[in-house]
Amino acid sequence: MFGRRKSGQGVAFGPPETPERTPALRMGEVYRTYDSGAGKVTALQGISVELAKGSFTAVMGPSGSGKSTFLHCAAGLDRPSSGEVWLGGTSLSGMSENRLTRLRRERVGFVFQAYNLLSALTVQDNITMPLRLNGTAVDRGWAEQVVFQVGMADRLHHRPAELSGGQQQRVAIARALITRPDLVLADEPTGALDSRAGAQVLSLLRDTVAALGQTVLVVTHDPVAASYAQRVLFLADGRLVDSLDAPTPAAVAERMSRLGER
Amino acid sequence: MIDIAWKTLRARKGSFSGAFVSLLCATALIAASGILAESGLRSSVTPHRYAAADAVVGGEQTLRLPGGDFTVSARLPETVRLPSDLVDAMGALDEVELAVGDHHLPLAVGSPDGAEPRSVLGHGWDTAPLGPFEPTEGTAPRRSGEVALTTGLATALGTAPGDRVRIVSAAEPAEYLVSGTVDHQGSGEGRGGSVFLHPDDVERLAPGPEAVDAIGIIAAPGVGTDELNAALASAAGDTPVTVHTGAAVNRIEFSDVGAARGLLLAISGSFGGLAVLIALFVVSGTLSLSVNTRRRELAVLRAIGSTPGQLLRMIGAEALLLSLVAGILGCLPGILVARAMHGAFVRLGVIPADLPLVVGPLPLAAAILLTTLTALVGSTAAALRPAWTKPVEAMRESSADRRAPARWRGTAGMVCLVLGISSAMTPIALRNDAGAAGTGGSALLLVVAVALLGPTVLRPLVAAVVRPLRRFRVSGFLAAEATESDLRRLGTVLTPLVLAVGFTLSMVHTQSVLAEAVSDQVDEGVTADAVVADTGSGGVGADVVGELAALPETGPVTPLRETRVFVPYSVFGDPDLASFPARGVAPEGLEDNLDPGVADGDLGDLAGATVAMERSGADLLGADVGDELDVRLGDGTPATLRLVATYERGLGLGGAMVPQEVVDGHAGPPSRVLVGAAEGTSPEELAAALEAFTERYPTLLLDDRDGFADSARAEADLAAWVNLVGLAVILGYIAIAVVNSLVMSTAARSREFALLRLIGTTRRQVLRALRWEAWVIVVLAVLLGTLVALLPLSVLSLAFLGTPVPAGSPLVYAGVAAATAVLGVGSVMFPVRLALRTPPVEAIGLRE
Ligand SMILES: Nc1ncnc2c1ncn2[C@@H]1O[C@H](COP(=O)(O)OP(=O)(O)OP(=O)(O)O)[C@@H](O)[C@H]1O
Ligand SMILES: [Mg+2]
Repeated sequence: MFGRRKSGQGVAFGPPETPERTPALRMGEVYRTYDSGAGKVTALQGISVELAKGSFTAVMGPSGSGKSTFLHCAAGLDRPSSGEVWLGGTSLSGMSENRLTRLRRERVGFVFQAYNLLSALTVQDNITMPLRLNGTAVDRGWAEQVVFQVGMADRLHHRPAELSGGQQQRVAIARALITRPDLVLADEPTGALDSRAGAQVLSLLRDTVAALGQTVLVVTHDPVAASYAQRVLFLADGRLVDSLDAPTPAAVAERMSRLGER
Repeated sequence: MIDIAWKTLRARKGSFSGAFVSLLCATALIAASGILAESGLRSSVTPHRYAAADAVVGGEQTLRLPGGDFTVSARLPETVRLPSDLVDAMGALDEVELAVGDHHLPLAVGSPDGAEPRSVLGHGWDTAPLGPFEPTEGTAPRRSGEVALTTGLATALGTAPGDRVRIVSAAEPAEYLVSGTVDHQGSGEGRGGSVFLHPDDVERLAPGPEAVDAIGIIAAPGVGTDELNAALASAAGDTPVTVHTGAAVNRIEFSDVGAARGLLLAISGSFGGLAVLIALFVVSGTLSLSVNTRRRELAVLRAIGSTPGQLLRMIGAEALLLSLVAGILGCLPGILVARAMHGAFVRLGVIPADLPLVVGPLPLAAAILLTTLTALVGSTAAALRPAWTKPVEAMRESSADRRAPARWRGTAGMVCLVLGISSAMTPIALRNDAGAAGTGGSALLLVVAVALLGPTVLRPLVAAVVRPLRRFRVSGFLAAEATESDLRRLGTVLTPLVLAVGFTLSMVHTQSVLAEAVSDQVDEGVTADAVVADTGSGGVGADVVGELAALPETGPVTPLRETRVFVPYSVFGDPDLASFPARGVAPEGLEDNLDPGVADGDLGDLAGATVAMERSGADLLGADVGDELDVRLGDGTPATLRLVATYERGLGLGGAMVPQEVVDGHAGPPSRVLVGAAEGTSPEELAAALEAFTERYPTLLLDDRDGFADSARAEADLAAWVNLVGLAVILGYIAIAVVNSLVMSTAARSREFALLRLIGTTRRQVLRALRWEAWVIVVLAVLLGTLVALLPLSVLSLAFLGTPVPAGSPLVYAGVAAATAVLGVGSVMFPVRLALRTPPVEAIGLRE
């Protein structure tokens, strides 16, 4: 019961706000239904959420609760069955595949749960690929900084097959940051990392938010990782059921265990 | 994008090698057919007898129709002769120093004691300056009855000046005195040597004294080529002539060069057309396979922000780089293939050994261009779907593709199916080689239909084939599951195999049905008691035929003068030219010697300006008995002939029959004469009489109906062999494509094998499962290949032989099935064994 009430406070609804206060991401009543041969699966059931610019948010929830789907819809990688998604002030619905891709490329950095890198290309080429796709020149200073931050400076000429899982994940994060996107979405970026490396990655994400005013949304199963965020959203059965501001690992773990009971 | 494409290519040499091999071989195949075509257009033999001529004038050997474009044309089989007045008219020109009329007389020369006579060409001594030839020993022929031989020929015959030689012209032997030996003043002996006769003898032996085969011109001093050409053209006036200058005079000097070049063009047209089609089909298939094995990578690219257009451009750039490199490397094998084919044709005797291959840059460039374009189109087409799906969906689908096939594939597949079936029916409508061509085309179209319909056709078939496998607990079950789970992949690897099986069966059996039909029809259609054939003296002259008829033992005598007639007709308003092999026959007693199986009308009416035609040919022209047909004879002369009969046995006896008088002056003498026994004469008596008769005529051979049927079959077989050379090359290509696509698609599954190992499947079980899979592929390929070949073949066989079981050795079928099994199982098992060598943990760790 407590959780329910809290969710009402933490998740903002309502009309778009004044331009300067436009949220980085806004979703309104987003549904996503999969129509596979085995029957219909509703992965998202009316998600409405706003992320303020410069915020760092974590998403948690049991496996299969729709976290990845939520992130995909937010990034424009997938289209909702119904409902609206705004990136900055731009509505994604009805946008052509080409425009959507370009918008994504310029404004969104995405770190995938799996299938990260192009195995034919070196670490360096993988990281700079979005720039290449964009036709923009590499900002050397920024690229070096990103590569240094993720700790891959000495592995630039290796291929993904020669890296550990965690190293591959760090390359993927560097790739997501290289375009200085407004919005960084990461689907379990620390899943394959030990706690120290995971902490490093998350502080990297948090620091860039602070430095560049970026907005970050991270899916994670790890309460410690979630505690780096300013706010944690809890998903269950495709619905946003709860949220927690200024989380501590203990508080997050406690909420999660209650989610599991429901 | 190009640099990323390049990096990808370099990093993934392994997975691109399949596409690379396919492109390389395609370029080689296309280049080879291009080289044959160019040789057909441009190859030449160094002029010998006309080496000193500044120009040689000949008739227009190409039949063109007014109003028809260049495709509506035919090479005339008979020499188009020029009126002798032209010789004088050209000789009188200021620009011309000498104009001589030349005749190409087919002669057989032998020593009088009767040794095997040699076939050579005879010419008048007045043409000697065109060589020039000068006597080396003795003198030139000074009077009728004297001949000069080139030195090499004289040596070969063992004769010297002062000896006598026997020269046979149109089967009529005569003795001549060798007045001397002569030699070419430039190059050596030339091929086969020449015989120079006195101009009076030439006049006598030539088919018509008022016409010549060619006019050799030596220009007045200081006259340039253009000036000479213009003068000659104006002297020719209305007579259509072709003026050959420089090296091009070889075209008129060597009649076999023209024929061989025509043949090369025809081969490159049929073989080349087929080769290009198949190469393009295979290339686009392989490239789509190669794109499909990389769906996952494409999905990642989409997810990190490449637009569909960028993805297509990247795939295009890869295809471009790959096909350019493969294309350039494919040129050399292309040249080698063309050389091998040229060698095979020379060995078959269909093109002269001294006619070289012309290897120019054009066919090579065209081959590279063509494969590159196909590679671009094929790979971008395959990348269209991965490029345009939503990125998340793309990532999810990247492991196995279970989507329904695109709608257009189904439509296109049905169109090909319908076209293939209707093409299979052509032999019913057109009972000749042209009709039989529909059979091969049909098999090809049906293969394309199967390829396009893919999963739709395969699903029920596969279900039936794998059912017994499910009884096995592990390996059979795994094989059944793997086969059924990705029907699209199965379709891609099956296509080249089905193509190989279907194509081989249809080509080989089409030839055997045709050869069988020809020899059957000759066997049934020739009712004469004996056949007299000429070997090497240009045919059986009218006088000899007359003497044969005058023997007391002979009854009806029917000369068969082989030529062609061309009939202009229109297809949906477009002018076209139908070409029929024709026989000039003597109408008297025809029905005693020939039974062509009259369908309508009466062969007895075959006299004067008339024609009898094979039924389906007449149907094609829409002609009924009694109709008048405007035709062109073998030398292009127009004639209006009344259709008096139609008959059935056109394959063995020719598509048209005309009375001799129609082709007189437009075709050579008969190469065969059918002879019936006189009333009251037994076949043995006739044979004895003919035996004695042919003793007197050294080039005549006594034969019987079987011999006729055999030689007709041999001709059909030769044509078959020429086709089989092309077939062998195409098959070699398809075999490479088969191995290639199987290896590619199996190698791309190494993760799957590793996973099987990790969850506890033993190495042996994996191998056994894959062997089952390979056998399923082989069985399906043989099944489908047989199906696509059998339908058109049965129709052909039913139309030509009256039985739905196609003629030909069952060994062919066994061989095809065995080869399919070896290729199929081998190219699956090889990459599997290779993949299983890598420890599974390592293989699965290769994250993509
Ligand atoms: N293509 C699909 N077809 C059908 N159902 C799907 C498809 N993709 C996802 N789903 C279903 O949608 C629901 C949400 O999936 P999603 O991947 O978003 O879960 P998740 O919260 O990210 O889980 P995890 O923590 O395990 O990654 C699940 O029930 C899943 O089975
Ligand atoms: Mg997930």
